[in-house]
Amino acid sequence: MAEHAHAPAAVVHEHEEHDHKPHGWKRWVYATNHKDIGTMYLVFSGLMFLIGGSFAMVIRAELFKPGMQLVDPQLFNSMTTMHALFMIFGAVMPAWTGLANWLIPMQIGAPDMALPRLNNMSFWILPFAFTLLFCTLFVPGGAPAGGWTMYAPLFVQTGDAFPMTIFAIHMMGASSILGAINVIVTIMNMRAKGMGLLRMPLFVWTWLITAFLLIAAMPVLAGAVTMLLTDHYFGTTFFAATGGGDPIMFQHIFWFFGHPEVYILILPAFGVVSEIIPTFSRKPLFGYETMVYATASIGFLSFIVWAHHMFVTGIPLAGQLFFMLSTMLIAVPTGVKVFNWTATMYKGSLSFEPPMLFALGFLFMFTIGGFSGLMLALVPADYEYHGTYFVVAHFHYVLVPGAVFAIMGAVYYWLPKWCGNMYDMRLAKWHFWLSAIFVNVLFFPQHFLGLAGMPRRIPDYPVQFTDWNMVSSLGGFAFGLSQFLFPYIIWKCIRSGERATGRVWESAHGLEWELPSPAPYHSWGEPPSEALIARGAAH
Amino acid sequence: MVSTDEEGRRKRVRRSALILGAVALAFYIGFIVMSVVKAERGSYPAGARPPAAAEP
Amino acid sequence: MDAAPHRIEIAPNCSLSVKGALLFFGGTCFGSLGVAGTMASLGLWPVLPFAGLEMVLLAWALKVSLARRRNSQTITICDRDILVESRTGSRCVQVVFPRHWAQVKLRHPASRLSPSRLVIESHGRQCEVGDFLTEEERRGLAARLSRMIGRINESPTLA
Repeated sequence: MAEHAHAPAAVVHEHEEHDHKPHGWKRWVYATNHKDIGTMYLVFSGLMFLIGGSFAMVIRAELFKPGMQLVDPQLFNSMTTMHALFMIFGAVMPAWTGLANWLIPMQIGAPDMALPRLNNMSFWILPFAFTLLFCTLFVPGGAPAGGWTMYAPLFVQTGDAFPMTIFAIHMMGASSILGAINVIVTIMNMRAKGMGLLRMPLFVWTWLITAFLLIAAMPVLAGAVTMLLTDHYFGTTFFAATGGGDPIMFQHIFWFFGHPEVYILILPAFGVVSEIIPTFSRKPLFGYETMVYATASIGFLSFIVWAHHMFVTGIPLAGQLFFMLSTMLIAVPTGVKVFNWTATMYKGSLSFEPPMLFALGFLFMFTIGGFSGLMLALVPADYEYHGTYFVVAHFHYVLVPGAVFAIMGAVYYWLPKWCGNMYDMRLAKWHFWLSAIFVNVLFFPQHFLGLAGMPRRIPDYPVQFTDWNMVSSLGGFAFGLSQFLFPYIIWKCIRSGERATGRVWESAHGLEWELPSPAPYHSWGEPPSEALIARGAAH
Repeated sequence: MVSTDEEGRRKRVRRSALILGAVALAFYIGFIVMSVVKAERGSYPAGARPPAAAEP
Repeated sequence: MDAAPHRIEIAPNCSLSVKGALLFFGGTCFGSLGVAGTMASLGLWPVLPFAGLEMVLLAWALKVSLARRRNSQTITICDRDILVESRTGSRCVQVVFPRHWAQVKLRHPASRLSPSRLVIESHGRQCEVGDFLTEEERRGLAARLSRMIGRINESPTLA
């Protein structure tokens, strides 16, 4: 080419110290860059994890021994409700959206999310929603105490916090929907040339399916809480038997949203684990396509299993059978996934860096949660387990060493890509081992408590449950304390640390690892190959 | 480079997996339909059914 | 003798065709409104407006994103001039720079996580190109443009 004959002129690099982009706090308030918004989501999620975690500490402190010690029953119930709302809508969902913001554009070769301003709005709704929800702790009647499931008619009896909670939930739902629409449009329309659907990294795939679940399920939640509101203030009787309504109907529609919601929390975790395990096994993922189909099947099945949460409400036998069998069917695609992850590791050259440790922790402990889920799916067994601590143990196994471990693994996997520095591996391994040990000390005894008959959501209990509650509480405090390592490791990594290479992990695959660390650049030594311009064609 | 033999083998494996999967799924769905229909018709033994609510 | 002009055409990536978008939107509407319609038929009509609103939002998002299809930039480099044509929908803006005095600048923003900006400038006028490219693509384009345009007071041979 002619231009090569001439001595190549260097590009003039200029640092825009006075560019038109806002600085300081305005940079964050007006952020439209997917990386800035992703960072804000992750920081917000960390903050909510801390607040939700402190609610959990109150619960475990009260349950340390029988009798009423620290809080009154009303506040105890508020703590369980707020803990769930903060963790689900404040910690886990925003963490996934933050990771989606950071990673999806890089993984599909897009310059940014499809709708950057919408992206800004979807984040900034969240702080207002959670401030409002947090403020309910200080209003007459106290914070909502009817459980995160907000069952009518109990929840309608909430005091002044009632409309605040409903409004906060509406805002959280709106934020999730805006995020989901942005993710869907980005994945559908902004993929680089050659990035076919069946070439997308699994994190992108799982997020695409998650976004569909959000789109289908969120209006149902919005409708459900609106009906609670109209029942309370406008004299409707959707869920009041006195006016011809049906309180059980609320449970049906809540769980029609609620069960897909559970998969919204866990599907991106499947994606993350499917990215981490091949890297540290130094082998390609076993059965990529089956992973995609399995995820889609799980997404579909999540809409036809909701009533397994309601076996004891007196639903007809035919309904019990249908929901039991369809729930058990989920074990098949989930089993395919677990098999594929295991097969990926089989004969691989394994190494155990922190992301891999978290992924393995996920694999083992999520499977424990899956098995207890299968036990709960069985109608006759569920008659015994329903409403006990066994259920609490089950969903905490899928959500803490499941979703939360995957989020932590994801942060440890991509953090060097984000900030350009490696983190303290030794401390991160400590973080993993402390978390993995204490999460089991915390939640495993809850299986025993549940099987022995301890009901959930109670501030006091008969003395025979004391021992395992003490163990569980001690595990909880230790787990809570060990989490302070996480922000410290991240802070230390951002401030200093060995420089990370572009690829970071020697056998990482995917477009994001082709970029320098930190993404997108700071120093650009040599011009990249022209092949990287997919669309610039000289005629 | 994947040889043609290898590609053919992959296709066969994929087809067999799909067929077996479909058969298993059909069997399972058939089982669900059968149990639901039986429950609807009330052809389960009396002990397996929850007692009917007393008429007011 | 003047060398033939070089043209570089850049356009944002659009992996979704209009037909694909319609199919996708139809499918999503079917799912979401199907769920909401069933709820409404059971008397739970408040679900329906939320689902409808959501689909309107999705339609808007798809429309905005698909509008990218009609955006493009053409950079024509002749012996004397550089012509930058930027098309946004039906609007077309043309800027001409004298090649000898033009230079290519890649501006790094103050925040390292924000994207860089690639501009062609001369005589105090400037024109941003490739703001819809990824960082890597923009750097590649910058390298290619600077080879063709040269530094200020420089005009590399084109032929």
